[in-house]
Amino acid sequence: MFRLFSGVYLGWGLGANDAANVFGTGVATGVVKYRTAVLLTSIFVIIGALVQGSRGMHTIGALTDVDINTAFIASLAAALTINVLTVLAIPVSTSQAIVGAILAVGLLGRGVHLAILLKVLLSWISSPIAAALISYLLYRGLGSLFETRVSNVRIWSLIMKIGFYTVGVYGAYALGANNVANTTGVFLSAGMLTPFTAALVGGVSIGIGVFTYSKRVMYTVGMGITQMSEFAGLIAILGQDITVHIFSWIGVPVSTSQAIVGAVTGVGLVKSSSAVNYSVLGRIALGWLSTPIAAFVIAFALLKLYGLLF
Amino acid sequence: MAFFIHKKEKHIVQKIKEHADAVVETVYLVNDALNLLLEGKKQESKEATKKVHKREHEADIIQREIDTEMFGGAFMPSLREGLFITVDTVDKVANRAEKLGDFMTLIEPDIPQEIREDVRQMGEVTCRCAEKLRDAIYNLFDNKKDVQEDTVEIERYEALVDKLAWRVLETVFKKLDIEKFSHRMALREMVIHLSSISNKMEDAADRIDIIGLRLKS
Repeated sequence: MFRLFSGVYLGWGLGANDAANVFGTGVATGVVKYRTAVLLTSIFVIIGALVQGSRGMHTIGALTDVDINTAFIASLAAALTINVLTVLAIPVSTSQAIVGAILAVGLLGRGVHLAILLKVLLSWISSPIAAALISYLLYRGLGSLFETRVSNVRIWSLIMKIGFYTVGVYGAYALGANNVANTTGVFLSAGMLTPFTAALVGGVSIGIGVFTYSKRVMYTVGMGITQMSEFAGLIAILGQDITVHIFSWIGVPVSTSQAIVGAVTGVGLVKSSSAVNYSVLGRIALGWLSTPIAAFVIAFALLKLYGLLF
Repeated sequence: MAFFIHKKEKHIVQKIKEHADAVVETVYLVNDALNLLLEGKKQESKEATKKVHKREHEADIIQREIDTEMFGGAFMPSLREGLFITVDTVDKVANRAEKLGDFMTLIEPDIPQEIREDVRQMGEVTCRCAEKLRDAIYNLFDNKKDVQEDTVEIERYEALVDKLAWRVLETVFKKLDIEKFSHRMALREMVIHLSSISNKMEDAADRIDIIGLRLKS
């Protein structure tokens, strides 16, 4: 059972980092109290994981054949990758880390299912684009409606408050539904957990990460997004939430950090075509390469070490 | 909880409107005192100034109530901050009106016939400016589309007051044969006090504009 620790550890890191993308702006603008945000995020992450987390788990599990030991190593390698790249300030994604680690398992084992790998790769590339498109359309549609229909300050304030809570809760649900597969998906395919217990353990570990270590990231990310108007920030988060939720239906875990960057770009494009920040997009591309490669290398090294020792 | 906050915000909006009413009334009352002084009715002008004090004090009390209630967590935090500053700036309009009243009461300057019409007009335009300030504040909570129109009008009236003030000062210092320099300086100070009321209204209009911009999508 101790092997499950690596999955819990990965989930903890995911919760600590990614909760910022759903409630960061609400907290940074002072609309939502930090304690309320972490409580709501933890609850809805678990609900999302339990209700809709299984599709992503099957995808992750179907990438290659894993046993209990290789599941442990893949999960540990992904967690170490997250830690190392975070320390090196290189953009990192849990979804990409776990896939990179699983590929190493597949390469040294019984191979990788290429069709599923292709589906995952296409999802990674399309998720920020989808987020940009969704946010662009939402901002275009709702922006003018919001400006013409909301006739006074008090109503504006009320809508924004309700909005930040709603997109935060929805985002937490989508995060749980989409990303829980990263934490315990490999243990499900190794036969160590049932779908329910995998979702529960993964969801709870993400929740613990949110509860214990998300404050600093939440404020940093939140302050970054609040450079925009509050309405634009709200739409960007909603765009991210919808995107992540769509990919939960498709059954591929994607990066919420990359989705939010895409969503912010989409909102910016409504105002000006020069809103595209190429350096940020470059960092996403760097994340696509660096995270799976680093996870692959670490997992490969751990598997070789395991082979030598046992 | 949401219903409670909704009710509380409604109450604060009502208070902000009451505060605007009190401030505008203060401006009207000081204008009355000014007109009485222009007519040479110094004692009546003093009595009118007492009303300015009373209304300004009432505005202060309302402002404190608004601050206390808003501090309890009403509105979006960014909007709350904007409203705090706006109400405070609007309150300064009443303070300026009070200062003009005090000056007229203490110094009782003799106003030469040649500048009386311009000074009277300054007071008149200042009152119109105050009306527009009230409209802008009301429209923030009733019909935000009209707010910018109101603030543009405030700026126009403020510019008009400045123009009149310049003309009065030019007359006092270059055209009139006033024996004592201290008399010229007293008239100058009175004109500056009077024009500072609309200047403060312009500051408040800027604050209101900022809130309006924040609401844009």
